[in-house]
Amino acid sequence: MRDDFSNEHFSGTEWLSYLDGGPGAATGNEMKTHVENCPECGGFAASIGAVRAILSEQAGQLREATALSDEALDSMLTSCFSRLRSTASAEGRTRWSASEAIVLLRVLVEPICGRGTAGATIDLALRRSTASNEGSVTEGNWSLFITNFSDLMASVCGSAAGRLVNRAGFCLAVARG
Amino acid sequence: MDFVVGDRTRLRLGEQEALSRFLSEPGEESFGEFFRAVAPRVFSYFRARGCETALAEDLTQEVMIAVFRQVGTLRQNESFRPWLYRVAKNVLLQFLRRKARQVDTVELDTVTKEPGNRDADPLLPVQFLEWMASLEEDERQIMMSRYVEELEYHEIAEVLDIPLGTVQWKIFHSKKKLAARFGPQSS
Repeated sequence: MRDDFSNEHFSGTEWLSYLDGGPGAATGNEMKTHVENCPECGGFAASIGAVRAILSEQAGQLREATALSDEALDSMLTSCFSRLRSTASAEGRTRWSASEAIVLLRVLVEPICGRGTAGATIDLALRRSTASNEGSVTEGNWSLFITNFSDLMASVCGSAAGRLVNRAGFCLAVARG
Repeated sequence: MDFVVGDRTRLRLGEQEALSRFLSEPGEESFGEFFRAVAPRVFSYFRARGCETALAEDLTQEVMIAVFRQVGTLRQNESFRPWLYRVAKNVLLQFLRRKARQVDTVELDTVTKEPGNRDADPLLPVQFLEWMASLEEDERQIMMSRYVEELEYHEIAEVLDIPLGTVQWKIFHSKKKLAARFGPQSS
């Protein structure tokens, strides 16, 4: 092979077109005949074909291995509906101030991680949400705060705690600052 | 709104059919059907990129909620699948950025693992992950889009915002690289 794709017989573009089923019938047939009779070109085409076959087979196995059960799908759908519902009904619902909502979340996580960790985690999430203290969290950056808080909780106490915070947080309607 | 999960014993609609129904009659029931048709693909997208199951489920939900809210912005002639995977790609990038910001202050559980790590997930085909790990990042994304998501070349170009010719060459180059490294004549 002279360079990345071409060899003595065909250019890289010709190979690309041939293996991808691209060229006109005449060129394709001519090349096909050559490839069938040339050990070098035949070997190259066969190796590319083998790689393609393995990739297709293995990717199929990966899709099977990552298939979702009906139960998992239902659970995710229920959770999505819950988040959508909380947003949809937020307009007509009693809204919490940011401070009140954070207190509620603190009460939720303290039994899981302890008072000190709960406070430190909330403070860090507040700083990362461009809010220096609880008073500066508003409706606008509430989502970011919840995302940061749940990520931190997941890091400190595990993914289940993170998801709990995430879901509870998105269900709370926070008043405009 | 009154969202319901619905009866899962009903036959699932195909992706295109579910999308058409959701676009023409947007609502909780059509979204439920649409979710069942599309969410498994999105979940697979995240799992293939090293996300553990719980994280992949969360990110899939984020994508599906974004789709629910933004599907009206899909232009008339725009293909749905590239649009969907662009949303998924952005959600993953946002997550990785957030995760990167946390590394200096918080010791994270490892929630995503490098594709190709043999310890990554015993359920996933090791050979495929090993092959993907041997490619450059841009090549890996293109090959995953092609083989895992089964996107056409022009759809991959749309998702990754690169020229069609680049997609073709990268796929060819990647196969050649894999053949040289792992093929029967490689040793």
